[in-house]
Amino acid sequence: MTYAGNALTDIRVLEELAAKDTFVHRRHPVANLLVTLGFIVAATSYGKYELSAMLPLGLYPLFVFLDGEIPSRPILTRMLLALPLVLGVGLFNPIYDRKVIAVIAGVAVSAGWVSFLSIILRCCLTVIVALLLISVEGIVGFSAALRALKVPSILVMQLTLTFRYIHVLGEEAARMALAYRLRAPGQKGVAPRQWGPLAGQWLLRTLKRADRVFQAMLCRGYHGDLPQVKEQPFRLADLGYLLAWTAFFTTARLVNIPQAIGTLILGTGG
Amino acid sequence: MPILSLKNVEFTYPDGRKAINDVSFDVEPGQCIGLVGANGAGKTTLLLMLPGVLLPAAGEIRVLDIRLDKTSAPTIRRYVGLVFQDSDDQLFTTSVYEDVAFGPRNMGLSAADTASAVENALAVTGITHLSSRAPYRLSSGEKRLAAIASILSMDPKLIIMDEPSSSLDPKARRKLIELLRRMPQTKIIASHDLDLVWDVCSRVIVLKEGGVAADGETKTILSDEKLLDACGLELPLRLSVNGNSHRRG
Repeated sequence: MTYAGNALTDIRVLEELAAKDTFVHRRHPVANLLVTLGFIVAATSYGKYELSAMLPLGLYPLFVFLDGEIPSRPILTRMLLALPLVLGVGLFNPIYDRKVIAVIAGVAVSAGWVSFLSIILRCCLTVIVALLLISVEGIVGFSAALRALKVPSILVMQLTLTFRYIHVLGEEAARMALAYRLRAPGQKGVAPRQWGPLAGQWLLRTLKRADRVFQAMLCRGYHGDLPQVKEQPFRLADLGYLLAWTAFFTTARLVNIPQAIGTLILGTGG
Repeated sequence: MPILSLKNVEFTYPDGRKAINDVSFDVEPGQCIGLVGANGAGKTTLLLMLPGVLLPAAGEIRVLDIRLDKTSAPTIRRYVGLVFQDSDDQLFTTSVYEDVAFGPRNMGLSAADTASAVENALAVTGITHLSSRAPYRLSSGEKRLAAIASILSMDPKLIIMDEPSSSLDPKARRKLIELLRRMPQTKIIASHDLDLVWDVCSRVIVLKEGGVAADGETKTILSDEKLLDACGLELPLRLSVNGNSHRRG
């Protein structure tokens, strides 16, 4: 399969996971969205040297992975795509921030390395949790949650249709790439002189295809507003789920849990 | 009262190409009509006009006596279901069930009524077992049945189909013919597959260069080699094979 085809399959795999029926999947989309937002707020609010204090937050994605029966591979491979950007952002910390803040087994650890690792950890956690939200809710549930939170429908529709359009773009790219490869045996990638014509054709074909998809939607009653799909009430269990995780994130943010456990076990203060 | 009525309908594309030229015909409830013609004869354009995706530049289209225009098009789409030539254009959600439910939900049906409509449409097309499958993972034949189910769930009075047998293997094609015969709704089927039209339709309209070249009983029209030849068509396979062997004999 072509790279475009693989990328498209990856997106679809995440959406297909949303069809499962587990405790997490059964939660109201608003509960899952708010828990995710709470997680992201908590994770990004830690100080740059607070590395160990952040570790308990990992319990939430771990819970969703296990309870939601979400395979780790598609999530982790997509998470890796975000890493180069984060590495670029945090790379200079160890160079410029050399103040030693700890000595572990005789090795001096600089503040720059701690903040570097802290940036990577919070990036990994937030990206994983965002991908898990899509895996649990799918774009449909995610849109339903936004609508329930009174986000303007025009914005939600733009988001949903953009997501759908990615599929159309990907499918056309996959077809064209395959057709090109079959008629260019032994050639690595697309020859530079073909980039322009191919990109132009890709856009034109995608527009035409998108037009047909839109026509098909019109014929089935689409009138500019996607219908609510997850028509489920916000139950007490959803409220309990939301409150439980919010309480956990708040506790993890206010109390350094690993340090508190260490203190408890070793029986030493501070 | 005819379920569909076209009077002197014309359509011109923005590039100036006249695709439909003075087309008039009526369709009575329960009829199954084959719309045939060579490539570029205007079949798809005409089909897109019936649910108001394209609006006539001149003339009048009436569905259940409602005059088609920009305002009435959403209402008319409740009664007219269009099955596209490429099922991938029609199936775009994450599961067959969601796709079949898309129309009823847009019509404002309750969750219970939507579920009932979906289950019924899936049962009629024989794809209940595929309801949770992702549409892009289905075979061409299964996709076609899912696309038909996505229309049936809206309970249309008139079903129009663009090349329903294209890209189907013989078994899937036969299954489709059986399904079309079972469906009681009024149908207009645009197809190059004249054998399918012969098997399913009682009346045929032949399009040529955007106009109606012939309109009549299926077997009479599809046996008329001279007419078909003049319209860029050939006899159905069953007739041409017999004819050739007869000539050879």
